[in-house]
Amino acid sequence: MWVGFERRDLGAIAHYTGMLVASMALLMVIPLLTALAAGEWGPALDYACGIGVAAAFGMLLAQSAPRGTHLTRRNALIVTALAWLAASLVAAVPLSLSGHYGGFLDAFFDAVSGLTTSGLTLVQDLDHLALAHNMWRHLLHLIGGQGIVVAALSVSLGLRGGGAMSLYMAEGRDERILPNVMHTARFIWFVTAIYVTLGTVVLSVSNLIQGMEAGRGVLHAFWATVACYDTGGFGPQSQNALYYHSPIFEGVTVILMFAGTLNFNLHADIWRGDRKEIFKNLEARALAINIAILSVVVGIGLAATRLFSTPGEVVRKGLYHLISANSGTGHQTLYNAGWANGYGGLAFAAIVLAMAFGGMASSTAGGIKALRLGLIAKGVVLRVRESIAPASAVVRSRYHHLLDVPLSADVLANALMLFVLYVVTYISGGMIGAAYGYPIGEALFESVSATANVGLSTGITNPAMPLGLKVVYMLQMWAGRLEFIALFVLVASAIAAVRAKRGRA
Amino acid sequence: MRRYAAALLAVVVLGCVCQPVRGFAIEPVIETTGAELASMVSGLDGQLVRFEGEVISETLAGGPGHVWVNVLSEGVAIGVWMPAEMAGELEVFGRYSHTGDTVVVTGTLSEGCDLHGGDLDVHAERLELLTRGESRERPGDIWKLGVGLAGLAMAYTGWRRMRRRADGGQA
Repeated sequence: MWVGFERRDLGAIAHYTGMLVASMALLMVIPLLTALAAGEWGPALDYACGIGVAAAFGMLLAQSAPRGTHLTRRNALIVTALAWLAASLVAAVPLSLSGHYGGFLDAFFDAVSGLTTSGLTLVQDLDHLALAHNMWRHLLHLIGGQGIVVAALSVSLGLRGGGAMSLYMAEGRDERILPNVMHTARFIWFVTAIYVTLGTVVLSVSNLIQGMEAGRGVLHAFWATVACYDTGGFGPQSQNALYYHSPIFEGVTVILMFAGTLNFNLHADIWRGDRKEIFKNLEARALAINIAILSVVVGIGLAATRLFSTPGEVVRKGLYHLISANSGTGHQTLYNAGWANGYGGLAFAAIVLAMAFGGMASSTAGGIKALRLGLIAKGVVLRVRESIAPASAVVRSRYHHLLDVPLSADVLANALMLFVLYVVTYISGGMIGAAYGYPIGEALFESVSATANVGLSTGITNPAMPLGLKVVYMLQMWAGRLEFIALFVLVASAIAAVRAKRGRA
Repeated sequence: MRRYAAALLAVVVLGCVCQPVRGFAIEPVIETTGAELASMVSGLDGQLVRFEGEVISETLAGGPGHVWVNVLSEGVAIGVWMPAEMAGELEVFGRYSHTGDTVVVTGTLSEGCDLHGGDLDVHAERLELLTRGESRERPGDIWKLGVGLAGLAMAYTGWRRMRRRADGGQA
């Protein structure tokens, strides 16, 4: 049944969206301080302006309803869908003022890409971008990776009460790690803080040994850590990970990317000392099998090109990009053009599949997710067993994901539905890219990268690409991050509201 | 006999002059750009190339006696590996506040360098400094501060109004 909106529904949606937008103003203080510390006066003014715009816009919306207003499940989904867009809009303000973007749309593209932890970028002359703007681009990964709602919950920014849990679930999180949603949000930040601190320290040492200036070395280490752990993919330099010429940098970032793709529940189990869960968990097994098979395929593909002379080179390049693709990070040590021209069809196909499959649910990774692939595989086996069993036999299947649970038709249907939605979006984006004149393979690669929030590119994504394609990729990044449902609820609710208005007229 | 000896000598001399002998002949240098080098379809793998660009990194450690310098050429940055003394002249690297030294690099392109884990790089044989880098003027627009302060004032008014409503007062 389609339920229309009442005035108080709109008020509640605007209020919570506004509170989330206002939280972006608070976060912009960090790049402002970075600019002031680095003596970057121009960017400091960009953030002064951005803070004012975000705070005013957020508070204007927030006044639509009193604090603590109850939020229904449907309205929470709408708030989540809208908040990601509204937050991206205000996040784009300082970026667009930087002079490094072709226009507001390009800055908006980068803000959406940053928050959805995609990593595709339209920035121009990245190698001369201010430290403050790089700080903001990477902070967007950090906020988006944990979730805007989680970020706001952690600082208790006016989101206590009835709306908190609904918002948390609407952001694509399946489980509560701890009984209290506020504690869950803080636990997610606690795990993140540990990885970010460790990663920053190790990479700082590596950068300083390499010869980077101290301040830049530490900032680059922090950004690389955030971009890898949050499976984002932005980098402060146009060469991305290739800039550092360091096997240690590559090794540490692979570990961080892998940590970022783990389900937060598994992090919690490791924290509690229950390491057996990793070996029993269906999702962990599915991801391990996925990575193992695709690693071999990428390796064979790269070796077949004869570009790399030693097995060591094939393993180093192949594994880095496979983990980068599977985790949805998008960091690379190869040039974009190589995917289309140099690294062969087999490696190309394996990377597309790795991006499409993605990492684990309830992590910062994107894509279809290993849990769903595992469930679908279990479903296929169940159906085969049913087919060969006697007609009177009752065949059941169980799987282990945090608990031992029976494989129900509902769970399987949900996994299949999202699988189909992702695949349809991947193909649709590829066809739209092809319609703009790009080769279908490259267009599909880019479409999968956008929808699965990866960030690897064949070079299609650049400031000169068609405007329509920029919008399509932004929609794909947004839909992929929210796993479609929140977006569909928003569209369906808008249609219902229009119908109700026509009915009254 | 003398004629045969003279003819033989002439053939040998001509052969030395006309036949490119490895180690003596000068290998042709191909003028190119960073964008072409990274395209993977340049056909320049293993060739001696020359390109111009801006230094955008500190001299990074590159193993015993060697350093890495990243050079931005036509919008694409390439890692250049060279003996440490070759980079001695470099002072300014490009970043927000500075335009880096402009250099001309002559070296061999490897699309998958065996020495460096399969990276695409150039092993420099020569580095010329064309122009010294300099600081960049980046003036700020003061109107942005005005917009920011106006926005904060509006937000503060709205926040106070919301608090009054929450406390049961009149909006």
